[in-house]
Amino acid sequence: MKRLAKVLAALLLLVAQSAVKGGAAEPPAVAIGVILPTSGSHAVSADYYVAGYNMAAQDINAAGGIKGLGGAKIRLIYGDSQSDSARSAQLAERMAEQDHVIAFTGSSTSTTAVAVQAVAEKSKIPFLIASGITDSLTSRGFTFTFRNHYNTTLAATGDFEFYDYVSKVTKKPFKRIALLWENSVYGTESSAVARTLAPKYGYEIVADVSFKSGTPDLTSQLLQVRNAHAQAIIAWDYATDAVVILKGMNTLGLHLPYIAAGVGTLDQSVVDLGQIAEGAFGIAQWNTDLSTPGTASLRDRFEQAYHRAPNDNTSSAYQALWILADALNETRSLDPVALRNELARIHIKKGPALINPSRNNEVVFDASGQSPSPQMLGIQLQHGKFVTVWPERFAKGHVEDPGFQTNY
Amino acid sequence: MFLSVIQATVNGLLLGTMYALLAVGLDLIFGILGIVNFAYGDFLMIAMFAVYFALVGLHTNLVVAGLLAIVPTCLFGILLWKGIIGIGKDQERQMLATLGLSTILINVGNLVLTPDPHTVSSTLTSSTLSFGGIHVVGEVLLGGLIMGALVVAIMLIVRRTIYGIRLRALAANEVAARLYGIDDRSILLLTILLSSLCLAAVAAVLLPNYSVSPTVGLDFTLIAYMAVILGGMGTIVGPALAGMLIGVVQTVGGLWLQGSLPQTLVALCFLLVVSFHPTGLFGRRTFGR
Repeated sequence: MKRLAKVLAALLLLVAQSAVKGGAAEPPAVAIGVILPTSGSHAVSADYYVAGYNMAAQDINAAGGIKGLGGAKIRLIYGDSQSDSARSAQLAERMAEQDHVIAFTGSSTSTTAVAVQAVAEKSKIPFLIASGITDSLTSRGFTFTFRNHYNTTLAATGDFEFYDYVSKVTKKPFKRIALLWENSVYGTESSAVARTLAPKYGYEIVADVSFKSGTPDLTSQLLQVRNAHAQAIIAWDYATDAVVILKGMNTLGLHLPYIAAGVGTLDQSVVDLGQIAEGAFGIAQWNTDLSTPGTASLRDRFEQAYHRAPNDNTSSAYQALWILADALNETRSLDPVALRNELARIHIKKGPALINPSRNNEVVFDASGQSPSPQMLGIQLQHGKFVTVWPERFAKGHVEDPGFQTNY
Repeated sequence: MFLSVIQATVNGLLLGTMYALLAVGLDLIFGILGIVNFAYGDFLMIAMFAVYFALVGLHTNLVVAGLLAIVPTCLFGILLWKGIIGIGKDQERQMLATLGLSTILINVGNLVLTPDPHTVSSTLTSSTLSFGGIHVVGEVLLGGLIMGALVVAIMLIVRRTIYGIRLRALAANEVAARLYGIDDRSILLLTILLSSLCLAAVAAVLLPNYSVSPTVGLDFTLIAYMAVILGGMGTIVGPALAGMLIGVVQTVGGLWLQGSLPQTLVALCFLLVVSFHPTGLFGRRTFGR
């Protein structure tokens, strides 16, 4: 009986020891809320974002978690905003109160962003926008909002600088441009920025044409471009529109350089158009052929899981989580306000947060919360693949001229 | 500018034949039989995905893909008939039920097929034919001609065949038609099949020039209903011509009008016609049977 008691006591001691040991080795996970519009009128393909966040969380946790917090693991809490502002606010509030998230991240349209931004400001929880281009997302004076994704000004500047480069390489003038934009907030705001910037770069806007996204025939809008004798097109559209525009250009025999922001051109549906889409340009902040930290691994794992190529939304999601992890590592605190202050002064010089090419090999945020770091890339569809062709230090191929017209 | 107007008109007519066939498919169900289906555009989405998977997965040609697309579209039509229309002939109920069905189809589509657009490269030819400065892609012209022929064929079927007579009899007086021994179930089944044929043909012509995603049907539902009401419900020829008109107004308007104004112009024409001639351009009957 005595022996049995001794054995039991020893066992109890062992259990108690392991419990204490286990508790010390596993600090509480850090909850981060990811809000995405995966349904509703502005639904995005969740795969691109979820894969980016999940892979970043896997990589951070596999590398020992957040060292500054004793190796705390990242726990992602996903929510579907249903492209609805009221739902976005509810989600953010629930995540703040019930899940005690230390930060929000995700993609946003302008209307849903305002809702999350308001909750973030009220709850004093930082909101890192990983997708969403309009300048106004970071110009409304919100102090808890940050964005690692490029904005409209960076994209439009990239368009003009890239066209300068294309002009230099092909020895053809592309100064007479047509703006072709879908008439929601995205296209309207982006084209307004381009209109302001064009004279600074010496471009003359000879056609300024808007259209309703989803229109099945845009040849009339392209006739306006042709009648104005434009030498190049800058478009703000969605992939559906890019397909219709490239088809329309083919119908009219309009062989002009066409450039669209990341999500517009860089889509499999455009590749599936075959020959008529060859030579189309895109402006983006990441491409699968880059040599930046984490790119090859992200691309390979995504392709294995989804049998298609990731896009710059995937890399942006991946980067966003690494930025948050790096900031948490520095603050060594689970206080969201401390995290916000760390993001405001962060200066990342190495690691997977540099997956997206940056101008000075760094990630920083300006006073508005926008990161000025993204280096826009000129990408061209060549032989069914999107090849980075500009700037030269990141280029993996040369600009190809499929016979761009300048006088017609 | 004159050439641009001609070019836009040609494009409008080609786009219009697609709207015409879409409207005829809806007119058979809604205009003649009075069944409201607000998920009509989503049935087009199903047909487009069927064409897409037949082309990409089975490596068939566009004609075979179009024919194959009739099967799932028709099956969904029958499911709608058995599951929702069967509940009752109350149009308000049908409206709410099919609106719900539309939401379900879009969201299931987003989950299963992702919201990404899918398209295919030109399956026949992307070469362009030019006639005195007017450009038309050969494939689009062929598609337009096939759709135009289908519109005429359906018009003749409804007017000249025994099926058409029975269909119109059923539409005019259901009880009397049954007393005369007309099998309403087989007529309805045949009508669903014809409507599915219209959707499948539109899907096969539209897909290589556009793209399909789960939300693609929303705009087309609106256009089809506008064409049916504008042209005159149940007249077949009216909705077909209204579809052509919508196509031309959209493209010619696009030469001068910005943003959504071409679509607004179409809506304005619609309102004007419906205000002054509620039965539509060619209609004789009143709305709400």
